[in-house]
Amino acid sequence: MAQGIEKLVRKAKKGDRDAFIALIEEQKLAMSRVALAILHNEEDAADAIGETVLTAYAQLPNLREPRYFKTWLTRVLIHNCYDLLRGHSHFMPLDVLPETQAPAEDYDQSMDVRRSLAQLAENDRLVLTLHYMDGFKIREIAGMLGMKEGTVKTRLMRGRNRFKKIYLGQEGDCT
Amino acid sequence: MKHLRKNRTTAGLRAELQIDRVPAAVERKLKQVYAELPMDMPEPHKAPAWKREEYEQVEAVTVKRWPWPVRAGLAAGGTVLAAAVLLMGLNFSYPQFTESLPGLGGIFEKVNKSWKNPMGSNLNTYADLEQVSQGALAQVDSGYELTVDEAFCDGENVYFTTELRCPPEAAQYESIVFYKYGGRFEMFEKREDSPEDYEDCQFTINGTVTDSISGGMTGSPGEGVLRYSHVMPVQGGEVADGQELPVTVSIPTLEAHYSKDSGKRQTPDLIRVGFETEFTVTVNKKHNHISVGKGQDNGVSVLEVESTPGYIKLKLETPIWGYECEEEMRVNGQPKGGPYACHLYTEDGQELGRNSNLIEMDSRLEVLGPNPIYPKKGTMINYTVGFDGAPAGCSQVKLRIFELDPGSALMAKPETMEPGYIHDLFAELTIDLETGKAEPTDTYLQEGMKKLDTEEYVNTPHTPLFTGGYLLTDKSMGPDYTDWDSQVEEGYMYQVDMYADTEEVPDLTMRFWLNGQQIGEVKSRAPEECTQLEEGVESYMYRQEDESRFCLARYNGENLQNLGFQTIPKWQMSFVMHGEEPWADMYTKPYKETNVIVQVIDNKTGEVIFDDPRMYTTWVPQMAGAAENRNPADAPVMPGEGGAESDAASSSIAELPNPGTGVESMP
Repeated sequence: MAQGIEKLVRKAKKGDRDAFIALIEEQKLAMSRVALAILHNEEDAADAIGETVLTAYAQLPNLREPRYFKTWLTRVLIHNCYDLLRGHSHFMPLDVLPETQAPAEDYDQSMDVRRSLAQLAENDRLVLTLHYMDGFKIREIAGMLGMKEGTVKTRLMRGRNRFKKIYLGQEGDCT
Repeated sequence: MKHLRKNRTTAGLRAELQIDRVPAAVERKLKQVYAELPMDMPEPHKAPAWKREEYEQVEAVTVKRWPWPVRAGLAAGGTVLAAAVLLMGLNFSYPQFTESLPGLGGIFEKVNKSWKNPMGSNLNTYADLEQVSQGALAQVDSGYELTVDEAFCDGENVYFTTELRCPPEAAQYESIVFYKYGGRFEMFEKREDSPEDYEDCQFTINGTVTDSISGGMTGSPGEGVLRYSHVMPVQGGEVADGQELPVTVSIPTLEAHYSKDSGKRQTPDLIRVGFETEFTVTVNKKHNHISVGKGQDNGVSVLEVESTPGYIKLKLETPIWGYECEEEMRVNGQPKGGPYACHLYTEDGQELGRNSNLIEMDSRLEVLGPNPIYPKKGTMINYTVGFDGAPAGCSQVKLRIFELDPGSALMAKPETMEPGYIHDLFAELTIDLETGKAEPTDTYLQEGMKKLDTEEYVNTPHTPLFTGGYLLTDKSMGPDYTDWDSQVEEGYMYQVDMYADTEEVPDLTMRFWLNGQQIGEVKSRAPEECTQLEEGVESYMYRQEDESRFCLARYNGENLQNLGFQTIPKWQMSFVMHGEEPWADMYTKPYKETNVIVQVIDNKTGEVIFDDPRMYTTWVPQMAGAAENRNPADAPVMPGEGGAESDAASSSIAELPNPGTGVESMP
């Protein structure tokens, strides 16, 4: 699979537009996961992904290593998501952003695991998605997010433990 | 059984993080984007032919790109920094001469300068700023009134201000914004009280829907009036000087936010107002200049100068002077003298705020790539850096490229944030905005600065030394948040990071001390006793019995070689302890009066190999409100407000001796 992607990247870098679209089609589910982990809204995720595809199309010729395409694309996407979230192009002062999690008292532990994930710290959720769903290594996640590797590990551990408490705790197995 | 539990946790996590299909909105967007893609792929970036032979071959290394420390900081401590931005607000010490001009509302100046990426703050110094004073029609008798106040168009952007007058009942809100992107900040489901029929606000220029690229807000509902500024790119292709552009404003709904303490922060009120208005703005290019730059200083060349009343963009070529590595883990190998160290001033000393949205990096740095290329010292790079527009009548500006960004605690050494600290610089150029002529000047001498163009500086590595094979880089202590946004605390966290230049994973104990008391210790362990974190990579985690303390170790190989260490660190380690006590109980006094130190012990010999080593320290104060409630003297003080604390998340190099191997007395 990875070789297939690299082959497509090489073709796209040579100007094969169809190869580029095939690459994006290959990555769109993973991109959606990451964008939703940050933005929690499908329309916004779509905007961020659209912006990312345009950036990738413009910048792909400058990507030196085809094997890094997925990491590169994800990094651009994260950048665009945070730009969107921070109101880079939207008129929303930072201090009035509503909280991005449901209040603790609204949380119904036994019924709604989605909300339990929502209770994970913003960056913990993103780090968990990148690591467990998209298979990025800690080193790669650190590079993408500009964090220390230790911080990524801490967040993985913290997010995992928190999830475990919330999710498996229902079965009395949270030790 | 433990491994089964772990697997079940992983499976549960995967099940919940998974999405079954690509959302329909994404599919729609992709179809639209595919249709818009040009048939030909863009050409790869090529350096100008006349310069290409001067470029050095650069190699990819796995270090982090430089804009991210700020972004990571914002992401991790977003609320802290957001609050900080607003705290800074109008307290910035800009000269106030522009406010005194008669007949102008001054909204641009008041609003935009309080914003982090200012554009058009000085528009009100231009006599041809248009006074629109256009009241909006309202479809609903809500008690709110909207007026478009001032407008300007430099041919690139339309700048305009709006004023919202609020009825007395609006005093219950902390802020009011124009409703847009409905549900964007919702969680996975739409709120029940967020019905579909609330329409987003919409702006058009020349008949095309557009969006803000910069803007700000000032005032409060309690004061009865809020003022907003908007900067939107001109739509519909190139426009001619004197052309009239129609602008429409449609604000069906206001989104009114309660304060954080109200308990209703999660559920802003949606207020139907139905504002509709339109106005025209005349394209005014007579103040615009774009010219090829001429002149250089200490290797810095000005390649292009573009200015309008709204912004200034400078395209520069500069050498890489090396990397800021003393706190490498903190600043992630930021090249010295990059765009974030550029500052621009008017002739009378007014600083023109830098606009990070206008920064364009040299694509050879591949700053968006997974393995950003950090050129070797001496390599020439190009970038464009953008600033707020200059006041009317200002024909020359002064560019200074500092060694470190004087304005950013995240980018610079902490001591540089101290009041009165004198920054050194790499270059100072006075630039004529009309001709592009750039001349080296030395006004920095009058301010006690020195230029870092000496042979001694160039030949100094500026990297920290490993002592006995170890480099302790930073320690941090602060609240352990359940969520950074909501600031729900779960005790505190104390973390120390270090590198080790040893073949085997170091066998060490880290002892954590606070105000003369040892509050915990964390031990590393041999790999066979640890959990392997990644397959195929030497990466281990050892957790203490209570699982609240752990050590992480990762083999780092040669990833850091371009940062210029005299030795290549092999192990990157973090020692972390979590304490159950509320952070408020630990945060009893400001950092400078707090003794936060560590000891490092060699487990094999029992020797204390570091006792109170010097390292970068992050000391996170209570959130501003909590601190103020306890003791106003402890509240974080922003730069420029005369305090000693540098930021909402204060950091400091402890004034302690350099790492040594001898045992020194404990406090």
